[in-house]
Amino acid sequence: MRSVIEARGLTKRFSGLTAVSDVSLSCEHGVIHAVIGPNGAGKSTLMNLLSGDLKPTSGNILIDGIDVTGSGSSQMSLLGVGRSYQRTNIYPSLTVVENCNLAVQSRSKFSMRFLSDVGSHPEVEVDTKNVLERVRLESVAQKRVSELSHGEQRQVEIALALAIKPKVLLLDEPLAGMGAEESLSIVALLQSIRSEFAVILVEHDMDAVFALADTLTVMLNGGVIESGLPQDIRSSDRVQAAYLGEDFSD
Amino acid sequence: MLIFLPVFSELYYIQFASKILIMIIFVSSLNLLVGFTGLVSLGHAAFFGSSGYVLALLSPADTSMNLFVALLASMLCVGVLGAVFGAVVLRTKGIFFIMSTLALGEMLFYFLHDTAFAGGSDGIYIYDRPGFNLFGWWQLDLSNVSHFYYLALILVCLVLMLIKRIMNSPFGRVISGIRVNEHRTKALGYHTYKFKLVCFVIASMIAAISGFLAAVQFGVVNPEMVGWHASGHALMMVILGGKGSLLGPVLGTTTLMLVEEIFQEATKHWQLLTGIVVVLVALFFPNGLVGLKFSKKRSEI
Repeated sequence: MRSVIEARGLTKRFSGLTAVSDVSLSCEHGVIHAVIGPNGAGKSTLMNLLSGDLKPTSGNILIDGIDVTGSGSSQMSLLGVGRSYQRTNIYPSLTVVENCNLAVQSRSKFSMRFLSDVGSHPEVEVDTKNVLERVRLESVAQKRVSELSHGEQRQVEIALALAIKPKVLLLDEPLAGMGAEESLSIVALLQSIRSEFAVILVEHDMDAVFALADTLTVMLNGGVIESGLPQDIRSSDRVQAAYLGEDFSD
Repeated sequence: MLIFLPVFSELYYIQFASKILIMIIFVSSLNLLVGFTGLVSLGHAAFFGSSGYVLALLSPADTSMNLFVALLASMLCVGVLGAVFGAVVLRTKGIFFIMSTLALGEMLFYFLHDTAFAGGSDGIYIYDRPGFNLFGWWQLDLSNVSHFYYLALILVCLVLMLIKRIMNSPFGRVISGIRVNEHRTKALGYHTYKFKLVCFVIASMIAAISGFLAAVQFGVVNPEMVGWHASGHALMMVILGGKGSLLGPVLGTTTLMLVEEIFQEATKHWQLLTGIVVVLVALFFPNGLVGLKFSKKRSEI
């Protein structure tokens, strides 16, 4: 099957430090491709390259086979790349509905209209309602995001990524800082939507990773040290030495 | 009461009320940038003053212009200036944005101050104010203080309605998003620079309405109208009233202008007293005078 998103030889250098070095990976529709590795391995930088938040020093990014290297984050978003951030990056002083409306409206053609009333575009509200139902945030829909719990804020983060109806979902540690129960409900949510997107998932929670991932890529010091099926990665000596430690070396 | 003011009031107070109305329009336009979009500009008076200059330069020496033609011409010219200024300053962020708006405003000040066609430091007089003749049976005469007052009042209402409309539009939604979290707004697919530029042009054109009225009221324009003093004065009113609300500029402008007027009568050190009042409000009502109203409501609950 053709890749929805593909990275070829992505490299990012920050004056002296090579954060991401010659990384290639791809992800097809309906597949969850997890990227794991210890802190500082370059996972978040890789996500920032894929989402257009950062521009690569070299290498290419392809969406549906078309080279889109150098596109900024707003262009990448319009090309169908939705993302959630590791550090919650939403609109704290707005309500959940307002957060979601903004994301939904980004797909419309009327965002520049400054004399029409938001009420004359009810389709935005309808889409927002659907998204909030999916991530189970209807009950707090009218609350300000700053009043929500950390777990709920992480759900809003995912809701914003879903609301733009993306082809590719980039999820940067969606479980960061969540309790066990909240983690389970997010994993269940991701299971329920996995067939609709190509998902690239960065996550430290190994239970979640092995429950969700179809493909695994392991990063260390900016480079890829192993890539393949989860069961192969589990038994790889190199990966065990570099990252997984004793827990997995029976 | 505002409608009947000219009926019972002395000439001086009608003029003073008109001055407040003009400032409300100007401060509201600045609030569109500072309060609604999160763009703190220290050069907004550039659009206020240049609008007056456009009128002064367009006015023929011996006849009066049609009010609406003159007003539209001023707004369009200032809109173009706003697009040019905005295209430059919006490439910067935060403190650099403040500095570059200040710099462009001051450049315009010295340009008008030091060139002959703009009348130098004395400015230009407008001898024949623009007027409007309704099919020959009614004449709007802007040298008549009551006529002028009503025009200003109508324009204030229209401007406030327009800003309310903008903030409830899909565009206003994006503008709020940019204020709260521009990075995320970009990541959602919005080309935020375009939205900020459109907002900047709208704000400059609304400022043009106020500058136009100010020039008509006193029949003169001078470089002081575009200087950073005027910009800072308006910014103070935005903050005093409470940024990011429709009523904030109305409260802030009225309060500050009344306070200044009272202190001016009382003492020659009026600026010191005004400063103290502004500092006190900033200290005790961080959300401005609008916040005062809301905090009362909340404590009642």
